[in-house]
Amino acid sequence: MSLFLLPLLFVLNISSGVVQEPVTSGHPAVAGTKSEPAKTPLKLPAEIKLILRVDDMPGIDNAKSFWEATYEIRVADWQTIVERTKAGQDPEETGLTIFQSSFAHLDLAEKKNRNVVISVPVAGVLLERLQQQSQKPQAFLLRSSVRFFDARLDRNFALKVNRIWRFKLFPDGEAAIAIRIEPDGSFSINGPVPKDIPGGYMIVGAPATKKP
Amino acid sequence: MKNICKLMILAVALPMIAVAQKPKMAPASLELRRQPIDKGRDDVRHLEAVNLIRSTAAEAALWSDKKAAVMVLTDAADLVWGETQSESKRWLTRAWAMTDQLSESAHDDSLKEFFTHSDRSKLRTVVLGVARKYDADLAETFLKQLTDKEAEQKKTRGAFDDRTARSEQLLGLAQQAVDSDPGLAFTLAEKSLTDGISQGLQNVLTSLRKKNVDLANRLFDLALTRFSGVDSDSSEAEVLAGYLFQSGFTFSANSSGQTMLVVNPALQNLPAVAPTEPQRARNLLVAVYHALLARPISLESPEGLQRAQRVLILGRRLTGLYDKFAPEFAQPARAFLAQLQTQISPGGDDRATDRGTATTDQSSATRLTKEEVYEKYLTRLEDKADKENNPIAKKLAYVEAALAATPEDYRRAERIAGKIDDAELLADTVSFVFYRAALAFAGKDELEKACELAPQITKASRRAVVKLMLAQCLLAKSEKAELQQSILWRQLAFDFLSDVDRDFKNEEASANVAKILLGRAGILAKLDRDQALASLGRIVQLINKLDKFDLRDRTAPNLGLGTFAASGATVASPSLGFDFRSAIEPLIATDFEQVSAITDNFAAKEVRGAGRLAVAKVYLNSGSSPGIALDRVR
Repeated sequence: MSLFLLPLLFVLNISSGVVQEPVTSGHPAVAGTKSEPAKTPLKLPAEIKLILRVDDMPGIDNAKSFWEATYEIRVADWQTIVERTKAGQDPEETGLTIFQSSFAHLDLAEKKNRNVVISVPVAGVLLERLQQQSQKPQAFLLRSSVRFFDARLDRNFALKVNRIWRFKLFPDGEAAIAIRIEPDGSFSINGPVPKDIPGGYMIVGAPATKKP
Repeated sequence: MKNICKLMILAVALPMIAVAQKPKMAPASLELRRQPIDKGRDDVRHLEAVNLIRSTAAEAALWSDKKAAVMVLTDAADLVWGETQSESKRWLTRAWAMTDQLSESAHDDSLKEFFTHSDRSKLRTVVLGVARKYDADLAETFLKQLTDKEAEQKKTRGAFDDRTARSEQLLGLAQQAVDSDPGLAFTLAEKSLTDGISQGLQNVLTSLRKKNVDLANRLFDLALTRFSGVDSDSSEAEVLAGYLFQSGFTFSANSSGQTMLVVNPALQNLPAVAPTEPQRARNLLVAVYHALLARPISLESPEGLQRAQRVLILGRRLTGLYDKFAPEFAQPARAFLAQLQTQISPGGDDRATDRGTATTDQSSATRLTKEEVYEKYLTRLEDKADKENNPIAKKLAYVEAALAATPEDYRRAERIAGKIDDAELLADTVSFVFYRAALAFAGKDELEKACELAPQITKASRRAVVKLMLAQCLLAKSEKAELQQSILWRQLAFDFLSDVDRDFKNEEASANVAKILLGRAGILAKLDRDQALASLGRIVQLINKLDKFDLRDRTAPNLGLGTFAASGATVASPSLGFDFRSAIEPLIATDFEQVSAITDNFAAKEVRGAGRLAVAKVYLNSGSSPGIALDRVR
């Protein structure tokens, strides 16, 4: 169990795979002209990293405040998620589990305990799937149960934090989820938000992102 | 406490035996001492109240907390407009100007794509409401300024925001007026049409229809004429379609084409308007066809694509209605939508098939009774928790299962929670389950059950709220009971309040503690004014220790268990006020000076100002105020 007391950090030095993904110019093709989409190699990251972060809560500096969680990360075909969503099925019940773990009773007064970094090396089945990204776009799924105890509010929060994010929007493999509890006991969970949001996308419930 | 419960059960079951119990307080001290009316004293108090308002309004203009300042200035103007018209007008104008400095960002960031509901917009409605009440020209001036300002700035709006700040205010005012003055509501809503058909119009139309069908029909016809003009937008048709076909529901789409829906629970169960207004339903469908379903949409730009997706969402919902109300347009509308669908996603769309499957599943589910569905759901959650191997996931799954039980099914919830292998979380969950059940029983006047549960609630704040609710219920009962029975119930209520006082003697200062003590003071004042005044003095000292506190917030403290299922929302709301006003209301007629003096002890100027204004407001509205013209006594 003591293993779970520390934030999980597995960073393996695996050489990244390289796959080809067509990248279009973003301009509509003009009728009568032939335009071949430019092909640039997509560099795969060495690891998929998810950061769970407690942004703030009233009793965050109280020595008795803590959090604990159990979680799993899956990889799935984006198309399957879309189809399941359309069919009214739970899109989260799909994919291949690539990581499962938990941590218990992390003291929130310690600043280093407010971030938990989950890293999954891009190797084996995950590497194979991401190498097929151009043909079969991939997405990651987080399924987790998180408990917070805010000693100042003297309240427990038992939350399900389930999220889906597309690899395409997080090409460096890093995503973050921020959790915040307000003085009145309400709470919000934001993210993952891509660093660069493509045109036409809007993220509901996310703080404003910085313009590049 | 156990004795109190026994006593209470006896009191409810066997009134004659209960009468024989000896009350702990002398009957005289349990009743309000009525003082003879003193005209001279009331005149002086009235003047004092008005002076409180004036001095507070003068201070508020200089506060850095502009939100508090706007509220105080508006309240002040509303309270004494009849006596100090020019001064009130000045305050209101100042308040209006100050709204420019309030935040215009969304009240809830996670809902900003749906609607903004900013502080600025909400307080502008309040200021405008007072202006319109006393000086229509002033209100018009404010609205004109709003139009001028908006022309200078372009801002991002949520899908369900009104079309302009002006229309938002007009419809807000119309909604406020609809019950008391449907004609005024009609006029205001009609004015809003100048800026297009806003989301707020749907609620105004539905509310107006309940008051005056003819006015609602006229407003609908005007809106339809506006829609049929230039630049028709699908969101405008959504508003009118929502009103006619599905009361309380409004649809839209986000930028990626997903359907968005807002529901007004107060209006959602009303019968649809269309069956009684088939011609209007037809008129709308024909107008939608000509404006939106017979014109090609360019998909070259993101805006065009978004417009097309919105038309598709609207059109899909209306196709069945064309069959009924405008059959000759049904086929062309379908053809247009099919073509649009192909253009948007050439791969086709299988939503119809999917929906069919979902419906089949649902219809088999509806064959089960409510109780069976509930039973199945709870069993599934508990089984899932039983099978979970990870200890953290397991205990959180038991919390979820326990809270899925209804408040009245607390024994089952307690049994499930008993499996939580974490003493602190187990205690908190059970405490919450009992708290939720006790409030539900008290709300249904099953006081014995609530009384039995109260001592089992381990958290002092939750236990206190239940006891306050019990005390409140007992006091209400005592007013209708015979003397001896009434005394006994008042004694029991007093004992509950004493328990709360004892529990909170050494409690650390917090907004929740302050709220609970304000709630207690309000009930105590009906039993013992001296003790209530002393308690009020202590509450002021406690509030002075807090960084901030809203004296106006009447809501019960949030004592839920924060969970996925938002369990706080499943708690029955205690029917008593937890604000400053509720605490001073029973005291104001008899102890105006003392309450006023206590209020002066608030340390923060904004809190003190809000407190003073509350004292003046409660007094002027209490019926004790003679309502003399200020000019006469100045």
